[in-house]
Amino acid sequence: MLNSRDDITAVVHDTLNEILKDAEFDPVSFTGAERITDIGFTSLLLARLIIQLEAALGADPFEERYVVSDIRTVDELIDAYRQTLQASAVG
Amino acid sequence: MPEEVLVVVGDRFPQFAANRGTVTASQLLERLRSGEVHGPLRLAVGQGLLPQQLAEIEKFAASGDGTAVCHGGVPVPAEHRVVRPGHPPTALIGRVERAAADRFTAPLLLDERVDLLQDRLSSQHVSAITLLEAARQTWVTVTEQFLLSDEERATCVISEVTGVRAAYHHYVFPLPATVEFRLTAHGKVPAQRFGFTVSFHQNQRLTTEIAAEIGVLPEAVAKKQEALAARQALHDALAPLRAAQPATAADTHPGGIPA
Repeated sequence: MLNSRDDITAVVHDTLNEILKDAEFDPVSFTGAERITDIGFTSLLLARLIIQLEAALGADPFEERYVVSDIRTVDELIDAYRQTLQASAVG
Repeated sequence: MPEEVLVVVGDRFPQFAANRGTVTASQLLERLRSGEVHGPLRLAVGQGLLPQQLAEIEKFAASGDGTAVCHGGVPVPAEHRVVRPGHPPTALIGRVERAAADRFTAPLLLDERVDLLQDRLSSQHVSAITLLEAARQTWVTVTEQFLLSDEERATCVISEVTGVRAAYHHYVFPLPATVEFRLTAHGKVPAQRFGFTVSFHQNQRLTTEIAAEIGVLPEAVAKKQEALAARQALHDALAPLRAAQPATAADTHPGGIPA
């Protein structure tokens, strides 16, 4: 299972760009400060992102711990996955 | 004996069936069963008949003795599996056929058990809401039977309907009528979208047009999108309660001692 912040960051960035490419948006070189809605993510693309990240990382932070409005930026999304994975490893 | 020409309508349209030249399904079948009809009877099948009534009329028409002849044939209901899974009595359209690459047609075929017909028991015409539901059944049927691939049919759902516009030009009466689906737009990114117009025609006249767009998504994505929205809505609804000051004992138990 991927747990380091770098691993999670890489997976999240790749998955974000994969979905943006499918939706015919330009790829993004992420700094982490990008607002998810500003780079083109609608509720539909967000649903796809969460499904794909659950398959890649084995967790869905939005099932229990977070709601969509808790997450604004790419870094906040990465933190949500990191904390959810840490909590599930401890629990 | 002179030829008799009638339109048969469902028993749920007594007001319309009071017009000369009409007969209710029950009255017609009673006449046919009793052998009371001796001369040629030319029939058109209108709206509101039960499937059993349609089948029995077809049997009399197919007997070949010339007693009853159905103009245009007896329509066949659409497959319930598609239009209302789990709700077999309420199909409002007949079998859908492709007329061109972007055009599909079906007979309007109201069943008397349709709940929506209850709205207009005192009227002669078919209600607007019934036509809207018939249009919905048409776009579901066309999408599932003709517009999606086999794989999409197995894994996708119609996840949203947007931009519904309706124009009611003329009354639709419980007479034979056709429904036409015309595809006007198709997009694939970020999800499949179909734009279309469903129109109703009676006596070669356009009576009603309903246009809309639908989005088709993999079921898993549609469910996830819905689950995210549901959790967010619940969170937003609870937020004011969480932010409120805790109730005092006096608020909770005015004039009394808390348990």
